[in-house]
Amino acid sequence: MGGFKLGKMTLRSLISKPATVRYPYEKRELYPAMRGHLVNDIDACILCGMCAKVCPADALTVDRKAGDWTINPYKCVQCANCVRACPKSSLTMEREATTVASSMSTLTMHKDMPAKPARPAAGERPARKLTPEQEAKAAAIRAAKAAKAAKEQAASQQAEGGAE
Amino acid sequence: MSNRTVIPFGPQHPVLPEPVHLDLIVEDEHVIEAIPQIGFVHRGLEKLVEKRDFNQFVYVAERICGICSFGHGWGYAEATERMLGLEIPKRASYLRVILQELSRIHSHLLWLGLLADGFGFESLFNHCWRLRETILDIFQETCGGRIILSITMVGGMTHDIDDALLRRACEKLDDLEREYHTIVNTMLNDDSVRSRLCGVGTINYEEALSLSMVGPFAKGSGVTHDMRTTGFSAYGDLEHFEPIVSTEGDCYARCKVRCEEIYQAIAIIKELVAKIPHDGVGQAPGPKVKPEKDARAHVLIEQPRGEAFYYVRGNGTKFLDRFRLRTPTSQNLGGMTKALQGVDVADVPMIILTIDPCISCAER
Repeated sequence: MGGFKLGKMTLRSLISKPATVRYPYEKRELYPAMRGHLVNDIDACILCGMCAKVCPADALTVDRKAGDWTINPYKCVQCANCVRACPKSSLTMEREATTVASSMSTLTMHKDMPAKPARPAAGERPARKLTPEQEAKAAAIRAAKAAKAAKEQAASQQAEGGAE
Repeated sequence: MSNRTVIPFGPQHPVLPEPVHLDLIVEDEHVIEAIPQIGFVHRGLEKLVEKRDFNQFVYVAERICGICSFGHGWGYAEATERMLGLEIPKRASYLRVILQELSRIHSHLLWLGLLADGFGFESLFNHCWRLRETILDIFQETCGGRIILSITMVGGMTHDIDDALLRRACEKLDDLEREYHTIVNTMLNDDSVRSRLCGVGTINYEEALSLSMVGPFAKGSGVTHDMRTTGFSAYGDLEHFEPIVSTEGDCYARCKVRCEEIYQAIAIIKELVAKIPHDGVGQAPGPKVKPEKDARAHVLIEQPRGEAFYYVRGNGTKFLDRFRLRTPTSQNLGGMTKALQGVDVADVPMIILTIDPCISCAER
C-alpha cells in the first residue's frame, strides 16, 4: 500500500542514459537476421519466375521473353519467401530498409537471355544411342507390355466364353 | 423517471488503440446499457484464402493483427499441418512456443502501458513500453522483424534460432524481470492505481461462464480455462503448468492476472530454452503436396487475449476452401457490455481497456 511506488525508477531515469537514441545523428546497429529490402543479383538470375510465383503480395513480375525482372517495392512485404524459393540463390535480403523515394516507382532489372536453339526437324535429329543397360531395360519393358497384352486378350476371350 | 441520454463512445477515443463504437445509454452518471458496434477495420482476410495458396497464406494470417501476429501465423500453420498430416520436428514446436510466450509478454506489457495511460499515470506508461522494447529487440535479433516475424511456415520454421541467441534472449529477460518487479509493485500496490481499479466492472464466475468469456478476462473471474493446459505443441513438455486465476472479477483482478502471466511466460521460456532439442526446424512441403478434397482440421491455441480457434478446409487444389478464425475479442465483447452495465461514465474507459479488445483480430 501507499503511493510513490515508481519514485525510485523515475528518479533513476532522471540521471541515467535515455532509452532512445538521437536518430539522425546516431543510428542503432542492425542485426544480421533483419529483413530490410530485397536485392537481386541479375548475373546469377535465370529469370525462371519462381520468385514471382511464390510472392504472397504479387510484388514481383518476371518476363523471360523480354528479359525483365521487376519488383514493386511498395507491394513487397519483406517476407523472404522468394529468397527461399530461388533455385540459383540470386535473391538476398539486405539489412537496410528501403530508401525513401520522392515518387512511387518500380525497379526493373534487365538481362539478355540466350535464345533457345531452334528444334531441328524430325528427319534431321540424330538417333539416340542407347547404352547396353538402357537397351536391356527397354527390352524388358517391351516384353512386359507384350505379356500384359496377351494376358488381357486371354482374359477377354475367357469372359466372352463365359457370356456365351 | 430521470432522463436517459445516449453518449457515443468511439470509434476515435484516446483510450482506444483500435476503432470500436459504443452507444452508452446513460441515466444521470450511470451507464444503463452499452451497445457495441464494430465493422470499421474489416478487411476480408478470411476470403483471401481462396486467392493465395496455402503456403503464402501464412503471411496473410500474420497480418490479421499487429499484436498477436505471431500467434495467428502459428495457429494457421498448425491447422494446415494437421490437415496435411505433416509432422514437424520438436525443435520447431519449442521455438514456436517460445516465440508465442514472448508475444504474450510484449502484448501484456503493451496493455499495462495502455491501462496506465488510461488512468493518467504517464510515467508508468512510458516505463512499460520501454520494457516492451526489450522483447521487440529480441524478435528483431532472432527473427528479423519486430512485429511481423515471418518465421513460421507450413511444415516448420523458415530458419533456426541458434542456442547462443536463445541464451542471450534469456539474459535480456532476466534484466527485464528485475525492472518489471517495480512496475508490478506499482500496478498492484499503489493507492492511486488501486482506487481506480478495485471493485470496478465486476463480473462473477457464473456470468463469465454463461457469456463464454475467454482469456485473462475470464481468468479474472475465476474461470480456469486455458488452452495451454491441453498440452498441445511443446506445452505438453512443461514440468508444471497451471493457469493463473483470480476470483474477484473486477478490473484489478484482470490486471493482476496479466501481471502474473508475464512472470509465468518468462518461466516457460527459460524452461523450454534449457531443454530445447536439436532435431532441425522442418522444411516446407514439396510442390506436389496438396490438401485433399474436404480434408479439414482445427486448432485451438491460447493467444495473449485468450482462446483462439482456427479451422481450415481443403478442396483438392493448393488453394483452401475455407479458413475460419474465432478470436478471443469477439468472445469477450458480450462480457464487456455486461461489465459496463451500471458503472459510472468515468469508469467506462477502464473497463473497455481491461478486456484488452483487439478489434482488428475480431473483424479480420
